[in-house]
Amino acid sequence: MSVVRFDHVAKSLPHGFWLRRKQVLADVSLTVERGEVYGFLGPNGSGKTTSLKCLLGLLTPDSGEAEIFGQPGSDPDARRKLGYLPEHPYFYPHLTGRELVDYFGRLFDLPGDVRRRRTDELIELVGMTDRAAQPIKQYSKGMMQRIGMAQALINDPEVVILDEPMSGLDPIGRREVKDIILDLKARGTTVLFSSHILADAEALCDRVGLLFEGKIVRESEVDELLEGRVQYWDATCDDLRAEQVPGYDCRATQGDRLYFRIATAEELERWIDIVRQAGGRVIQVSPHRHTLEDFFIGAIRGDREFDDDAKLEASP
Amino acid sequence: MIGRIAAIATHTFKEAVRDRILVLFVMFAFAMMAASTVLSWLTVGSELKIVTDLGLGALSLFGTMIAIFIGITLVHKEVEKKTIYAVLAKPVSRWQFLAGKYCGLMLTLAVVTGLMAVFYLALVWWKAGVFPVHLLAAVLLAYMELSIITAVAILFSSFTTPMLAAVFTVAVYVVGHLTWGLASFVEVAPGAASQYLVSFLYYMLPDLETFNVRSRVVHGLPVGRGYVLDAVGYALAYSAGMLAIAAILFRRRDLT
Repeated sequence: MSVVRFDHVAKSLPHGFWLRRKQVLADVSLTVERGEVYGFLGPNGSGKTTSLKCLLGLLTPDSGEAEIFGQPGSDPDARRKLGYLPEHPYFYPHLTGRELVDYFGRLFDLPGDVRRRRTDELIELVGMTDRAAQPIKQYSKGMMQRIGMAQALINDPEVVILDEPMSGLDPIGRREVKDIILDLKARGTTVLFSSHILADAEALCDRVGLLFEGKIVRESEVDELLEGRVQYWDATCDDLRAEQVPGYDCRATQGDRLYFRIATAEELERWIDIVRQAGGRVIQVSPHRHTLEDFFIGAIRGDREFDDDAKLEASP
Repeated sequence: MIGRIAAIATHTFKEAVRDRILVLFVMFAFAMMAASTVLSWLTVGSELKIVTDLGLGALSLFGTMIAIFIGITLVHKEVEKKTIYAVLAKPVSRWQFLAGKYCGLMLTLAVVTGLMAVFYLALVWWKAGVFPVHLLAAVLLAYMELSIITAVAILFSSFTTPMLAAVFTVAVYVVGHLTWGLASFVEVAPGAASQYLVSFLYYMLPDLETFNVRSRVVHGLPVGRGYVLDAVGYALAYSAGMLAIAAILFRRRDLT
């Protein structure tokens, strides 16, 4: 059984003065399997937060189903083993960090001793031990995010849903959130997080789904996505002049060092032969792979000839 | 389930008492009660009546103001500030959230009414020389009126903005004190349709005058135990009804 399942979810929300309904989600279908880290990617305004709210029962989908452990998210029981960090978390300013985490523990009906122990552990985990007695109104954005992370884990959840967990964090904070996600993954917790920062997804996810204008436009394993997709090679040789390598466009020279960009493997082999025959030295050949960003932009463009396009751009 | 409602209630209570506005309201109530002793000097022979009347009036008025002021923002503030997302993503159902909010505000009002009552009863005791036991029933009834007002405020706040909720709740409060007028209007309303409408309103709106026993206690008339029990039962039933409607309206609401 999938941990999270969206089945053709559509949702429109009232908009503007006349409250005309605007389609926010057109067709969202995806599944997250147990133990997986799933990156829910998409540009700003593509419907990531709306999708997650449908999953949690904060919004009711117009059509389709959004389920957690096979139950609709609107059923409180479905949320028993779930942890959630909202986007830009804002918590009660009059509470201290510790009181907040404790309050959320109460909402899970955790017994007092378990609650206190977990609260301490989690506050330590997110590095807020020194600040836990301070009222939340004195917290910075990063501290709010940290305490938000702590409250999301109070019930030792089997699935954690994080809405933009790294937004507004400094590099250290991002690193710490990443470590927490990796730690959850190591313990077999299922993680679904939304982001528009692709490097994070690349580093953390098993699979990604790409949401654009309320539709999942692509869903793929991260490895599969990035594997074997060399876009072009950057090649450098020494002891030659550009004229000695005919048919290749030299992009830059530095003394007798030449820099080339080569589009295909065959061309690269030919280039190496030419360089050697002319008496030059091959200094470096480095493949340039697709990043998630290329995938992202390509998928959004609806670019079926995406790979060829990329090659075209790279050709000398 | 009870644990969750209690958690939300204590949290609501904590939030309310950490707000300076509450202290301000209570100070005002104390000031008004104290002022009633000054006013009473102007009258001859009915000093105690003035203190009893104005003091109970202040207690009821400031209790109502707190109930409306906090009640109308209880739900809206959580939605507006997006604090509700994290709460409703927990295994908390929406009606439990509303029930917790209601209980929290009623707890706050119990403490506030208690404080005001202590001050008020002490004042009357000092004036009269004997402890005014008969006023306890009046204080209890004032508190029961607040339970209805709070429920109405939460009902409106579950689907509209604080501004509108305030207007509606104040309207219900005012009309609720005038329902006896509706009762007599039923007989003179022209046509069956308008009679139905008026009697519908009469039964739908709370009869808040039930809880106003000021004119009786001021003149030293007793408030019977049966009357108090009936009024308490009525307040509980009416509040439960309002909260049930609020829960139905709030259940499917999209929290954008």
